[in-house]
Amino acid sequence: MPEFAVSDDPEALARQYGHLVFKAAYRVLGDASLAEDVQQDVFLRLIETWPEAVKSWPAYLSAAAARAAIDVLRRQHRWWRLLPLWQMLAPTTTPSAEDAGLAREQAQRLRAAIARLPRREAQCFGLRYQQDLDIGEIAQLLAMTENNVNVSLHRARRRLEAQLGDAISETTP
Amino acid sequence: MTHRQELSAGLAAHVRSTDSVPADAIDRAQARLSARLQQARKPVRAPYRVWWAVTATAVLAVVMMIAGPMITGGGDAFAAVQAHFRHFTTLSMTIAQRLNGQALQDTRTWIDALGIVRTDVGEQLSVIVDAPRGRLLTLLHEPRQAVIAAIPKQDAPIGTDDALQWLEDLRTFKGKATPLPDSRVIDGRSARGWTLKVGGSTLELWADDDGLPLAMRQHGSGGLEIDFRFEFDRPIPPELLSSDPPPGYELMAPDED
Repeated sequence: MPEFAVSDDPEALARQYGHLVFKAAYRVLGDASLAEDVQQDVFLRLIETWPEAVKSWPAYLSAAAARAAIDVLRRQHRWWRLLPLWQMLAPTTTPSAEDAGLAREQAQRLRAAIARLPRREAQCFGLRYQQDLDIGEIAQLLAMTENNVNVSLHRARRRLEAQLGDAISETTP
Repeated sequence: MTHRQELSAGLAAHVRSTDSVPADAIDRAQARLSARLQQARKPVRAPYRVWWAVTATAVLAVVMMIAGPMITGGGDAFAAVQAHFRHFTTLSMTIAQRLNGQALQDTRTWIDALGIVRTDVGEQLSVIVDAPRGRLLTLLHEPRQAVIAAIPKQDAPIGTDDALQWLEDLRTFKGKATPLPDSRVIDGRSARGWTLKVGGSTLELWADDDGLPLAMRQHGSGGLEIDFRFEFDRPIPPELLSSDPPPGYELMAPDED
């Protein structure tokens, strides 16, 4: 077994930041079971491959969770389009949505809309507005320039505004 | 969240609606994460092996994605999954229920090959259905009280328990289980899934490469969703499934209607 210093021990990181990673994944997915899978995946990857020169573990781990969760969300969206049965089960068409309260409906609509964004835009949007990272951090974590992050965010906002359309104007005071 | 001022009011409201994370789910996930990492810690592999594994996995994933639905024998793969539900010595389950997205009480259930079923509801209540002996034991843990009631003796009681009807349905299922097109990682293990309709509800069932069932989601009516995590053939302490009151519990008379 490898010996890890306290600062680079996956289990110590999991104890310290496991909650953070789960929350990051849950905000994107809205599903505890899937968020748990992502959380485990993030820390198991650390055991397999230890990343070099991590400046901020919270930022690194939140970003890893958000990226993995967005990939899961996008895959689900593809399946729902492909399989009629899953389309029936997709959150945007769940019959119970009407009873579920405004916040839940909004969350479902937003997640479905994010799933339809191009991957980079979805990642930038999730990291900026769901994980609250700075532009510089996002640029570093996604290996993009700050300018490209800003462009992706602008496009993501525009696409989401268009996709959510009426739902947004209904909630605008 | 400081950056949401860049969003329109409507879009910001939608993003805010994703902030809420259930605290009990965080704690459960954290406990399972710790256990999983302790299990998984192993030497870091040489880089070329990692790349080889990544490449092989990627190729396999593409092949499975394209060819998966066309490969014959998918039924056999599901039959292997089904066999685990027919032939276990013990089955332990964690069950999380949600109604319209709101978490309900979580439960733990243990079943042995004789058909004795124990269900723990939170820390307060345990119910042991001992159909072979024809008795039902209810334990109230805080006041340390036990209630015994008689039930009909049965050799195969599982299908008579409404909460476990899905298990009997799954054991006898002869219809078509449709493979799901992607994989998941559950408790660190790669899992493939099937969807099937049994008893009026839709099940998504996930199993590892050997066909060992790991997880299931049951979509019920009226917005009810039930998530199961399975552990097969794990030793269960005999006292857990005993329908005799444990030491220190006061035996109470059953309520009369």
